[in-house]
Amino acid sequence: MCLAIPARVVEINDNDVAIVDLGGVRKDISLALVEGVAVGDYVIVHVGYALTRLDPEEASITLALMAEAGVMEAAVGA
Amino acid sequence: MNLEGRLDIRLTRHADAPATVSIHSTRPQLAQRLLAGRTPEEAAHLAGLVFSLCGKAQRVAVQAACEAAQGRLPDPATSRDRETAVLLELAQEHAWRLLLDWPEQSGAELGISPDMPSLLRLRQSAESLRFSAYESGVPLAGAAADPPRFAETLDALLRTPLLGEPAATWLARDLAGFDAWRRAAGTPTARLFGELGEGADRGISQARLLPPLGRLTDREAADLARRALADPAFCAQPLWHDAPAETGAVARVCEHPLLTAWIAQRGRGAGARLLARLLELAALPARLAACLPDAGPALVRAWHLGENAGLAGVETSRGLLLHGVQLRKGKVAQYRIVAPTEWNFHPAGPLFQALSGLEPGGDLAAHARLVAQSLDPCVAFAIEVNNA
Repeated sequence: MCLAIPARVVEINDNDVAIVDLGGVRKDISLALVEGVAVGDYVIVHVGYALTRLDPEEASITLALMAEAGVMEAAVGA
Repeated sequence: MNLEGRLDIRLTRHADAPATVSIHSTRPQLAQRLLAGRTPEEAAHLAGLVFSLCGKAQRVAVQAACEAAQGRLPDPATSRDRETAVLLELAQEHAWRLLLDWPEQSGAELGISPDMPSLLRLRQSAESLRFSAYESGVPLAGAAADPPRFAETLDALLRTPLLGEPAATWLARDLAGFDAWRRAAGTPTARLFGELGEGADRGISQARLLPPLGRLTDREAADLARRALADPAFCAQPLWHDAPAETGAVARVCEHPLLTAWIAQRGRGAGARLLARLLELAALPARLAACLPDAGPALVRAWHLGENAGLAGVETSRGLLLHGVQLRKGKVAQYRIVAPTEWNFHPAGPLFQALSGLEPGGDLAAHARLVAQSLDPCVAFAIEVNNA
């Protein structure tokens, strides 16, 4: 039941490794399981792997819905 | 910042006694906060969006629970579409465990690395099936007489790198036949099973198995729903007949002769859980290619519980997912989710039992990691080993 919070891709390196930004926290993730990801796209990450690619528009809709539903606050406060 | 919570597994070594274990979860219970006040349609959309690993199962569970609360039944085509979506998600998660997690964890010394291309191929074939069905407007399960591409891709993947032979041949093996396959070491998966040996399984749990969805009685379903809706704490630490229970592929296919023999002779541990996943995965192409996703054990069920209340159960790769809902004036008043991770990582549940009483020697952390991974939590977990 892991949460699908979109993380922004800020850098793509060799070997399908990218750096993503999630709420100001940056981390390395693998892009081996998704194709066609570009810097500026959003990805949904699970244990170090990008699962799904979202374009910025889809991601902003998702993030807005999550914020409205209180997911972000609830999860941060937990 | 950890948005989705995690599991902390602590082992304590004692000088002259077996290690003790404690399991602590920080997973937030989000269902009520996320879904209260929504219409059933909004709730289903949101659940599909918010949960990344099991989004399809979550969406289907919301739809089925809300329909049941309203006393409605889905039409057969909708039911088939849902079962197919759930089955495809389940298959991809099983493949992830077998092709990525297991090699990552245990493959280094064998020279086996995660098989990303195979996993990517499978994921892409699931996407193409979804999109082509939507584009054509034809219901997914009745889409074509041709075997769906996903089933073909999965079948190819079962031959190489998983089984090295047709799925039907492999599925007919008894325990001696399985051991021969394992010793022949013809595939990375066979070699990984080889590492587990023929002795007692690792991480054996005696916790009862949660019944597969098809076996849940109406009374049991009503009781689970009543407890979940009345008490959020039950959702965080659920009990089956007042005791912790294990859920997952091993609970669904424990009557397969090969797995029954394994459990009887070696115990129900990490190897049994991995074998159960492989058995379940190996049986899927035939089920999918027949375009009869409902031609097997139930994957989705729902119960009307009176007074706008409903319960839905969905079988996911990690085990039984339960959704309980109480509607009021067409909107969600109460919503509860009992997820498989809460059963398997219950503080006194299967993992606790599997790790309790370990002798203090050996690599406790590696052992705990193998067992925890075999129970497959849907969030990250951390293992800490201390000396008393």
